[in-house]
Amino acid sequence: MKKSIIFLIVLSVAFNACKKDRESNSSYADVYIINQGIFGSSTAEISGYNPDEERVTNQLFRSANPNAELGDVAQSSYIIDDELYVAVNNSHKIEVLDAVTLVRKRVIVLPEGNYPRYMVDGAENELVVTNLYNPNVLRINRETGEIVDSIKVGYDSEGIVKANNQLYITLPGSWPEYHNQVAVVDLSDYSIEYVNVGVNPTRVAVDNQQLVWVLCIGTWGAANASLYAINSVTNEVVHSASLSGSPADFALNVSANELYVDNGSKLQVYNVSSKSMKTDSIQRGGFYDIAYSALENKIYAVDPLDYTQNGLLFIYGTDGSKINSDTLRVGVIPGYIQIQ
Amino acid sequence: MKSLFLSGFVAIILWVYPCTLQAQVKDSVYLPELIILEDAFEKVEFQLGADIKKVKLGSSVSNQSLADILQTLSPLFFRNQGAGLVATVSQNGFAPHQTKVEWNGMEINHPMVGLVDFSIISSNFISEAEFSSTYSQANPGSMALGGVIHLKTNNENTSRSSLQYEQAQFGKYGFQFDVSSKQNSFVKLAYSQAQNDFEYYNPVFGTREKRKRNANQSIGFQAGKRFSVANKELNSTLWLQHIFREIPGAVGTTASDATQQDGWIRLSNELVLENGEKPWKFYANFSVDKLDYRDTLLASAGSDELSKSLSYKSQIRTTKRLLFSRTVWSDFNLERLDNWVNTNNYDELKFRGITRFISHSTITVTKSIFLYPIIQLEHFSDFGWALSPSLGTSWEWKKNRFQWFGSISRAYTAPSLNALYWPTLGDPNLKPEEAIKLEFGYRFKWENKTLSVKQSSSYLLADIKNGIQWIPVQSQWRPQNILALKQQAFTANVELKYAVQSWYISLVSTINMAESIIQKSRFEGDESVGNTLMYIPDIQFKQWFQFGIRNVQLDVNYQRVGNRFINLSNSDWLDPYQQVDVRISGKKRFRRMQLECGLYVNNITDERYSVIKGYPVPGRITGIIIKTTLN
Repeated sequence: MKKSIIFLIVLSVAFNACKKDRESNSSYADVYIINQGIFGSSTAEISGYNPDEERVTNQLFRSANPNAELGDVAQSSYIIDDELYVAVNNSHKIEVLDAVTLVRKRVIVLPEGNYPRYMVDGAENELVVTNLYNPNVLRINRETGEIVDSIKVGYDSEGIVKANNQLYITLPGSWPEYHNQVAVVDLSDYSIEYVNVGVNPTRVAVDNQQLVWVLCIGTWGAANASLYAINSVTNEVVHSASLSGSPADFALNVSANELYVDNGSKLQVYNVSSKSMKTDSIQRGGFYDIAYSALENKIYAVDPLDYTQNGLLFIYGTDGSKINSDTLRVGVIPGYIQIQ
Repeated sequence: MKSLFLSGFVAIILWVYPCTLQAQVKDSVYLPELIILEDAFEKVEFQLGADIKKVKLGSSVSNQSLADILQTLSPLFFRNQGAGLVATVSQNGFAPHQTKVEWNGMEINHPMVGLVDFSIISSNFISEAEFSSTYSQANPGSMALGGVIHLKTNNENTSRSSLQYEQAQFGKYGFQFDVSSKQNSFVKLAYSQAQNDFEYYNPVFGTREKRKRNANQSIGFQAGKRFSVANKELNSTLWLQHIFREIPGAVGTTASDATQQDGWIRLSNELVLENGEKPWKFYANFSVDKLDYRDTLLASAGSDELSKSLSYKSQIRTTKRLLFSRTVWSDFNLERLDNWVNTNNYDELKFRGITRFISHSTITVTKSIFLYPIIQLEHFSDFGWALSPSLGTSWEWKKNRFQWFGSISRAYTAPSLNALYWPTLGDPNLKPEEAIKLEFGYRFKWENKTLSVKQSSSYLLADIKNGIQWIPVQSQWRPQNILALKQQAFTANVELKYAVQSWYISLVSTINMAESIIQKSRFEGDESVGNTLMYIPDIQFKQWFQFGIRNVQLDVNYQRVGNRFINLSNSDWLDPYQQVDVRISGKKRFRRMQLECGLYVNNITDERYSVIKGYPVPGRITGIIIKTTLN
């Protein structure tokens, strides 16, 4: 009896003493991985990859901001000058961080009912933000955080790029009725023009010919995915091609005129000059996001695995050869790669 | 203003009410919650091969949810989303859907999700809770992979009536009215509501704010009657409950406008056909459960705004002791359980029927060694035949002083109906989760006229196959039988009581350590092998101190809950927290009436923590309880 009581006391003291300590991380990195975190739990985080050291550092946001949380579902990021903007979808906010130290500079809280997705710098001092479950794209004053105005595009909006002083915004709509247009917004007067593309347009990118490439991922199970190119001068579709499989993302290599398409089990290479598929598969596909680093001429890709544990970062050459030899663990549900 | 008005109204009732009844007042102890270790030395029954614990809830317990009370007073861990929100049980690291919960012998797990939300069970309506991770007398295996929690509402043969009013911070108030008679009947009515608008720090926005849309409201009615006809005894209890609550969602996520309405009608009947050496009982239990969830966000995502369901349950069981001798006695159970679920989430009415045969025996090997074999054979309408045997043993090493016990058992839990039939995502080919469980431990007690000491320890090891996990398959979240787990848990209790003429002191300490380790890789790149599942505290330490002198009593509850991992890489976790609750109460007798008053301060150190990530709990809360009793 006496021994049992002593045992319990010892256990109690021992377990009070063995509180875990989180590591303190330095925040310098050339590549940021924006981790969504587990939905509904405000566990979004930022990982950094340093190519020189070939090392991943996790939980950079918490290290830089010990009493803060990034929020729920960090969707994407965007760098303007020395600031990193992070769209936190389910927390309806834009987190503005120092792009190097990741220290919080300010928080732009959006009204309820706005779900920020992707961003681009707009006219003057504005940030333009696409919006899920909402037909309005937001124009936000970057300094004050005020919503200057909204652009009524009529549908859920997703990808956004700027070309020829115009914004190209994909309008995928939402399940079960997907949409098939790209809204073209003139930044001089905010007039809107619509260009018809394939079903469920999501990703968008601009090549060195000022062609706007649009990935339309189609309807699940319907095999109607497609790739479109829009001339940003005339705003006419100059090319379209059907894609077999279930593409999820693409990344543009401007100098090589190559578009890397993450398509189901394949990582494909599409030549934007010849407008034809160059290589059907250079690597496995099925990633959550891919990005091309022009500085390193490498493809970065992230895999969220089972969405409940730390995901993986892969680095490939443009021929599909795997570059990283070590397993690179990033945060939970890595969903966006920010190349600095 | 509304609460002030109600407070005044209740105060008037408290004043007038005693004058309207003619009765003698009996002694009662305020807040008489106690952890009582099953007294193995006096009760030679089947469950002695397992570590079984019991919490007795007094009739004058405050108006807390069962989750709040058991989290403080038992080794159980509740995944509590905060005041007024969902709280599911994790017993020794098992998942909530793996623990079978019964009320008066009726299984009350919701068939759609397979679990029970303890936050909506008012402690006013429960007399005692008994729990074990291995097997128990009534249901040793099926649907009880993680064990069984038996909740009971007792029909006490006393003549008494009482009215209780409670008011606390954050808009919480409630009252309870009880009447019981020596004619073996009782009626209970309880109402409570709370705003739960406490202040907290929001780290996502870097602001201090009040919890919004977090109100709840609950009303319940219970009535019981024991009938005696031709030497047969029928004990019936009816329970009606309705709960409305707002669901605010996690902090830093999109503000939800969701609301949930739960309700049920439950009727339990126990018919004692024979007593004595060969008892024979018959049970007939019925329930209708409503669960409606409304969220406009669901509509914006393309689903129905309102998810609604009605579940119907019928359970018929007979238990008879067919064999009774000096060395062997055996009980046999035959049961039929039918579940129907009607919901707009399924394409049609879903049904699960279970026919169950159980035999459990006690075999006396020597004067001090017993064996407890159990055989359970069942037929599921959707899974066919299943066999869940178990074998327990106990050895009374020192008579009336020290006992060893142990058991080995097989158990399984069939998938919930949501896992099977949720539109486009459910998998009708899922297999039941299975487990082999081993438990051993000891019990010790020593007592004299003034001092009582009880101590027990147990170790549990479980090997789980076909564990169900929802993971993305081709971009869609689907349940799969992919988890192989090894679970370990250690639990120890110490209970000390010292009482002399006018004062008493009591100290109960519990420690529980649990882990649930993933054993096999589930896919390429899986780094979770060797890690523990999420939201299982590595340690819980709870201590309850009670001191009473004459008519005044002081209760101090302390609990410390350890790290809980929040991802399967175990790379992030919630830090430990500790909480201290203090209550002081007194009673005064006025001829026919007894007046009791209590003041409590929960979380007196104002600890700020979350049990589940993103769900803050209130800091310090102060409340009062006033109760009058007549009999």
